[in-house]
Amino acid sequence: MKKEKGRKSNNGTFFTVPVIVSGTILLIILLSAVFAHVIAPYSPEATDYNASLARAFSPGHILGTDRIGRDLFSRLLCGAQTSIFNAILIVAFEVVVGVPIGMLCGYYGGKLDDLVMRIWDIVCSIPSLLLAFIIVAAFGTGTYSGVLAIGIVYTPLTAKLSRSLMMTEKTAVYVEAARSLGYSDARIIFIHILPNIITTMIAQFTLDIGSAITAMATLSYLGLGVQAPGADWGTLLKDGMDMLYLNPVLLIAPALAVMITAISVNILSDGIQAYIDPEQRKLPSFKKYRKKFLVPQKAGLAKNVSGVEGKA
Amino acid sequence: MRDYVRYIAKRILMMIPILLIVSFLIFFLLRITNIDEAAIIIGERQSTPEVRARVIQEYGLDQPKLLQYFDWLRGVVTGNFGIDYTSGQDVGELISSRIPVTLGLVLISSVLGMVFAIILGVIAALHRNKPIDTAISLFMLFFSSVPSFLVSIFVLIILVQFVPGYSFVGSFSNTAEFFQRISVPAFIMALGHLALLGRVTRSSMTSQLQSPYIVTAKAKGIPDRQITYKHAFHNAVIPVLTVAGMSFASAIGGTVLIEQIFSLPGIGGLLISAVQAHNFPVVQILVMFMLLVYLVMSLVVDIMYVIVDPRVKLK
Repeated sequence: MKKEKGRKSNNGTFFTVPVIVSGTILLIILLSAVFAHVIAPYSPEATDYNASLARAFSPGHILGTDRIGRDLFSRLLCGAQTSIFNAILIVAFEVVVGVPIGMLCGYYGGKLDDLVMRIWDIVCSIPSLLLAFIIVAAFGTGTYSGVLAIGIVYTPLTAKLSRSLMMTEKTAVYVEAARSLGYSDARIIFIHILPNIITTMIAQFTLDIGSAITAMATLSYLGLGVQAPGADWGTLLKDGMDMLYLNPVLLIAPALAVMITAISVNILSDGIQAYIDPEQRKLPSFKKYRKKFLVPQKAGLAKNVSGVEGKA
Repeated sequence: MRDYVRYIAKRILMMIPILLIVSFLIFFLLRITNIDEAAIIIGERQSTPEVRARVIQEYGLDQPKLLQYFDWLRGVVTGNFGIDYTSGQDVGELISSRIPVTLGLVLISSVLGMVFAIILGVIAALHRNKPIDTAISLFMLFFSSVPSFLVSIFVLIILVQFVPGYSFVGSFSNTAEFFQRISVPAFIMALGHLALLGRVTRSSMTSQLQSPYIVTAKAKGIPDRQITYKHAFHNAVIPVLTVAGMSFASAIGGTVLIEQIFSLPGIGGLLISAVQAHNFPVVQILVMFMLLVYLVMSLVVDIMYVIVDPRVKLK
């Protein structure tokens, strides 16, 4: 399916135009999230009743203010921090829990594998948002139960992916070699195989960070995630919804923030996938290769031969 | 025909163990943190030891959890869905008036999304790498990367700002109002299906059109129209159905969200407030209901599978 998108041969480089554009956008968002408290012109909780519901581009408040006069731009920046931090927590959870389970199941197979996969199938038969609701209902609303809920929803998928990668990886020659050297299973799994699997899964993790941001925003929007004094993009959306008729910027700005982040993450993960997947990665054609590297070499102008290895 | 009846009956029977296992899972997952249910039932009222003892007695909270589960299960099977912890109402009564909205939303959006996805996907595949294909593909790429939750927020903003007569508050009394209110959210949910299924249709149709049997058919002099719609389309639609099942599953949860955004009186709002209040009987019934809807829809998808692909035998 991905090949059909008409992606031109990218000469095997990671830095295609879409990747550069989406990467730059994400870098800006990430940096502004990290330095939110430095960049933000106001404290996100500072109220100014005189400037309540100021329109966008009004003096002093770039994006205007909400009902109790809190500066939207500052809240958006600090919301980015919360949103991205929570998303990283969610993905960390799925990596720490899902990857080892999947790897152990894939490596040992047998009854353990059957049992775990059966349980996963049952868990997966509950639509994901509903499962998140159940977990929130049990643990109570709040940031951490939201993170836990989405993390648990994502874990079976991660485990399945790492399991299937493990199944192909464990038959590789280097694994056999390691085993013949008498290394323990734990050493083979976590030192030899893990790095190979993780690199393949990076595209998936990138994608998951994007969908985790949206999922957490969804929970917060519904009032199940981040609670009142704290603010992430979801709670901003919720507050904006109430002010829909009075100041729509309050709703548009966080919605755009989530949307731009989600799209950029999608594009970036597509780029990573295209670079990592050997089937999709287009190596330089022989003609170009010769033109670029071989011909000058012949003329005594050895030029960046190591660069080829790096890309190949 | 008899085969179909037998197949459907068998599939419906197979749903029962799934529902039982999931209901068990939900029941215990909700109680995993050992929340004080009696305190939730008493709520704002003054909690004296006598009141507490009576509540525990009345709701059977002193019994072992497993026994509570079987009591609840027996109730559900006999049509007694339990009592709402916060309002004291009968859960069955509470949800019955809200079900048509949610069901309507799910069904209309699924049918709309699937039909348009197939039409647009086929058009794109037939005009591959031409402007119309690029336009359709970009459209679908956009809607598949933007969550429908954000699309609906933007649509809502546009409606509120630019369509003066649009009202999205209040309840509806007749069928016309029902469809009027439900149409926009259903259309947005359909867009979500459309983006995903349309891309699958396009890619599977493209690969079918390039396969050797199409060349053979052309060589035999079969008209193009027949090749596309009879030969290629038949094979191309099979992967679409597979993905459709998955797409519908994620949409079931999505209804909750869309209902909240467009303030539709479906079961979404009820579920959210029940989740916030640890109102377990309501959460259990609603999740089971949505799961049932999802299972029935995947059954329908599977039946379509059999109709489309004669190689799949009815088992």
